[in-house]
Amino acid sequence: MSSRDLQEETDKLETNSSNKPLKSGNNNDTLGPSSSSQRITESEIDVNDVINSMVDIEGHSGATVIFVGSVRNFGINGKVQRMYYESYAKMAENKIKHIEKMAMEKYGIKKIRIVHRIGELALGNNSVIIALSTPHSDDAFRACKYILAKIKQEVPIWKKEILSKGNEKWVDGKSIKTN
Amino acid sequence: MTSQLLPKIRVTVLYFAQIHETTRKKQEIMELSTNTSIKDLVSIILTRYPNIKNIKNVKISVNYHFVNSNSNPILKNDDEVALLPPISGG
Repeated sequence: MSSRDLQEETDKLETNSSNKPLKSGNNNDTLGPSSSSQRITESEIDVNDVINSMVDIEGHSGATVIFVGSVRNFGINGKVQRMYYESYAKMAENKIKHIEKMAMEKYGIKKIRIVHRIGELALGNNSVIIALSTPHSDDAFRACKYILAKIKQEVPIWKKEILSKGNEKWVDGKSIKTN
Repeated sequence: MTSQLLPKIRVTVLYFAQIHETTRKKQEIMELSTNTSIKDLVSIILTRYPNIKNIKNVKISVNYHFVNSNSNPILKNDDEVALLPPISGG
């Protein structure tokens, strides 16, 4: 059986791949998740924009919970200087949409936004945000923890710790859940 | 008919994280025989990049759906295959 590289086509794909996230984010003020809202982005996460998207003037929700994950200065491989995130963008978008749908059904979520940033991030930069609103606060807190756990189990995103003296190490992660 | 005249398919193979540091490329297009299974392709990849064997719990997807790396479904032209090491997002 033979196989060979087609380097020219590969180069073309490198610049026009389904694996490449869109550059800019957008807002979404409708109830529930939006199919057009971007979940994976190379851009800085606009926390205020996400919080504002939870505003519900019709009052369906009495509780909004926001989780913001950011780059910490220490990791499993020692002192961290920066963090690099990579994703299989299209699959990651699909997985996050699925998690949103599952969580909405399970916890009665009225509004939800999840955004994960990729690329090279500095210490303190926000890497992920989960925002959701529900009628009652217990459901909102439990839903947020559920979603974060699902992201860690199911969404194809990898991070590499950039350490001192130019050392870099991928973080040993969890085997991706496939069902 | 020589092997060069047999029908071929083209499959895009994507490598992520530790895997693309082993392959030294993030993706490539492979030209394969029309009867190539997922198992066959995995064998080709591991022959070409044997160090991938050192990475545990690598999962395979075809067109964004996970498949068993030992499975026999036949690949089609323009399929997108991805090799996914353990994840660490969030």
